[in-house]
Amino acid sequence: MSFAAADCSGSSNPLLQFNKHTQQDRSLQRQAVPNQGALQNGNGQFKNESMMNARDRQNMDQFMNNSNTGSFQFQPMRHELNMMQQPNSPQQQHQQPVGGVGQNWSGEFASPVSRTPILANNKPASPQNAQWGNEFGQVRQQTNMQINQHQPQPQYAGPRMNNYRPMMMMGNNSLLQQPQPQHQQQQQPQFKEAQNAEPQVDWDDKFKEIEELTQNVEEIPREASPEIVIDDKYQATFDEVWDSLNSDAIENDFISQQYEEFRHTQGQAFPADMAQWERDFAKYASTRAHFGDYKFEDQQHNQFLDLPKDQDAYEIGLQLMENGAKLSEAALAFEAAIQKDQSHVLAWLKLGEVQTQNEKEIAGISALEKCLELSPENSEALMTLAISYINEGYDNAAFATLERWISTKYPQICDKAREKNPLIDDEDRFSLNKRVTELFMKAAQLSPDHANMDPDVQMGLGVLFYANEDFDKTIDCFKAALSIKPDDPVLWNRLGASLANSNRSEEAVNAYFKALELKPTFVRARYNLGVSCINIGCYKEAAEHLLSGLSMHEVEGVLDDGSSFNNNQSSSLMETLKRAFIAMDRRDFLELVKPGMDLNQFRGEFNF
Amino acid sequence: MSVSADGFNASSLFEQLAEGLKDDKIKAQAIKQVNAVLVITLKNKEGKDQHWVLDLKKDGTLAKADSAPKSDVQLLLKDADFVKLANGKANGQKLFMNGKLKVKGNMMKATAIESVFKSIDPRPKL
Repeated sequence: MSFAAADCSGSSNPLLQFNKHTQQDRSLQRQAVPNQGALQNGNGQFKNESMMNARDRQNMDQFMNNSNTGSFQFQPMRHELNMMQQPNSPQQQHQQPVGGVGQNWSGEFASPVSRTPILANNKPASPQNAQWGNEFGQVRQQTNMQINQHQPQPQYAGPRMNNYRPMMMMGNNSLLQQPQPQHQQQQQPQFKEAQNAEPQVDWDDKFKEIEELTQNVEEIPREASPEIVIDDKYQATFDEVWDSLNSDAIENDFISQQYEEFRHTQGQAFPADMAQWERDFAKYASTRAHFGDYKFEDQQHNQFLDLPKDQDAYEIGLQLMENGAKLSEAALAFEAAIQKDQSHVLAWLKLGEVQTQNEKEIAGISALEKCLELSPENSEALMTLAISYINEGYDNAAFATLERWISTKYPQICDKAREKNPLIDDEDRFSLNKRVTELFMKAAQLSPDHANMDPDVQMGLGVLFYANEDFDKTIDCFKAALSIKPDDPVLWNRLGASLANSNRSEEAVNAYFKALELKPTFVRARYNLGVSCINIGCYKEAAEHLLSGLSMHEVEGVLDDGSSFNNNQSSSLMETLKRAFIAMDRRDFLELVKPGMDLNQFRGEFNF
Repeated sequence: MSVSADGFNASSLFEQLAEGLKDDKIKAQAIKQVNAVLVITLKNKEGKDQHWVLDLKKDGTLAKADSAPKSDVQLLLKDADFVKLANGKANGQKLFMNGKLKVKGNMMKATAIESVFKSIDPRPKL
C-alpha cells in the first residue's frame, strides 16, 4: 500500500494525496524501515517536525506504536479510546491489566481512592467481571422472585436490602461500601453452588441461610424501619379519623339531599318535556333585569280614553301611524285601547312597536312582553322584542327570543336540529348565538332564491351577527331584507345603525335620512342621526336632530302643565343631547337639559 | 366638583366621562373592564400640569387632583394628544411609541383607557 502511494505521489488526485499524508505521518516512527523512499521520508519528517510541537509528537509516537499493524486501522484506536480515559497516563496503563485479570474484588476496592468513578464503571467491561455481574444478576433476580412469591413479609427486608446493595456497589465505588465486598464474595459462591447442585432447591431454606448471613451485616436497615413500633399510635388515631370521615359522609348526604330538592323544584319550573326554546326563554327572560309592567300615561292626558262609543281607539292609533302623526299620539291611542280591553293582543303589539320606534325602549319592551304573555307565539312581537333586548344589551335574552321566533315560524328546522342534538344544556353566550345562527342559516337556505326570501329571517340573522359585532355580515343581511321591503323605514334605520357601528357614519347618515324620508316621525332614526352627527363632529346638527326628536315626544294638549310623560321618558335622547352640548362647550344649555324642559328655549339657537 | 380645568381642551372630554360614569351600567362595565386607578396627567400649551384621577377600581369616579396620588398607572401626555386619543383619532400605542405618551406603572391597565372612552360613546340603536 505504501508503495502504491509512493508511485502515485505525483498524481493530483486529492484522495491519493491524502492517503500519502497518512502514510507519511506513520512513517515518522518508521524512519529505519529501509524500503521507504528517502526523499519522501525526508519531506514527511521535515513537515512533521515543523508542524508539530514536542508533545503532539510524543502523543503520536505513542499512538503509532500501540497500533500493531502496518495499515492505518481505526478499530484498535477506537477500542483504545473506549478503554482509556487518559491515554497518556502511565497509571492507566498499569491499571488496565489489573482490571482485565482482576478476579480479586477486594483488591480492587482496596486500590487507591484517587481512581475516578468513571474508571470503576469501565471495569465490568473486562470479561471476568462481566461474567460475575451476569451471574450475580441472575441469582438476584431469582431471589427477588422468591421473596415475592413465597414470603412477602416484612422480615425479608433484610435480604432485599442485601440484594440492593451490590447493585449500588456495581455502579458507585463509594467509600461507604468498602467494608462489604468480603461478605458479598462469600455469599456469591453459595448462591452459585445452590443453583448448580440442586435445581429443585427448597428456597425457603436458602433464604434462611441468606438471612442469617445478611443479618450480621444488615443491622442498619433494621433500625431504619420504625413503622412497626409506632403502629399502635396510628391504630389509635384511625378510629377518630374514621369517625370524622363518617360524619362528613352524613353531611354530604345532607347536601346532596338539598341538591336533589333543589333540582326537584327546578324540574317543576322547567318540565322535562318542555321545548328547549321554552326553557331558554324562561331562563333568560327571568334572569334579565325586570322592566316591570307597562306604565300608562296619566289618564287625564289621554284624550283617546273618552272617545265616542262607535270609535275604536286601536283603529285610530293605526290611522295615526299611517298618517304620519306623532308616534307618541299613536301610543296614547293604543294605550287607550288596552285600557279598555287588557287582553287586546294587537294593541299591545302595536304599542310595543310604536314605543321602540319612539326611542322609548323600556316601555316598548314591557309592552311586547305583555303581548307575548297573552300570545306566546306572536312572531312579530318576538322579533321586535329580540331587537330591543339587543339594544339594551341583554344578548342572551335576545338569542333565546330569536330561537323562540324561529321555532314558531320554522318548526320543521328546529325539530330537525333537536333530533340531531337532543341534549342541549346550559350554554354560554357564544355557543347560544352560534346555535341560533345555525338555525337561521338553515331557514335562509330553505329559500335561497331572491323571490321567496323571508326578510324576517334575514333580519334575525342580521341581529345575530350584530350581537357578535360582525357588522359586515349584518349589513349584508339588512340589505338583503331591504331588497324585498325597500319602503320599510325601520329596516333603513337598522341598516344605518349597523353602518354607524362599523365606523361608516357617513353612509349611516344616508340610511337614516332615507328612513326619515319614509317616516318623518321616526324618533329613533332621529336619535341615531344625532349620534352619527356627534361621531362625525357636527355637534350643532346633532343637537338639532336630538331636539327635534324630543319635540316629537310632545303631544298637543299635554304641554299645558309641563309635567307630561313622566312615566315614559327617553333618557337616551337627553343624555346624548347633553353630550352634544358638552362637546360644543355650551354649559348654559347643558344645565337646561332635564326632564320636562321647555324645548322652546333652544329654538333661538337651533333650528328644529 | 367640576372636573374641567381652565386652559385644557380635554376638559369637555372629562366632563363627558364623568357624565357617562353616572350611568350605573356603564360604570359597572368600566370597573369590570379596567379594575384599576388611573391618573392622567396632562400638560397644556402654557406648560401647566393638571392631574385627573379616574378610579375604576371601586367607586367608578373621576376627579381633578392637584398632585398625582398613588395609582396603578399614570399616563403623562399633552392636552392636545389626549383629545386625539379620547376621540379615537390617535392610537395609544402609536403615541407611546413616538414618546408622546408616557406610562408609569401597569402598562396593561393604561391600554384600557381607550375602551373606557369608547364605552361612553352613545350607541346607535337598531
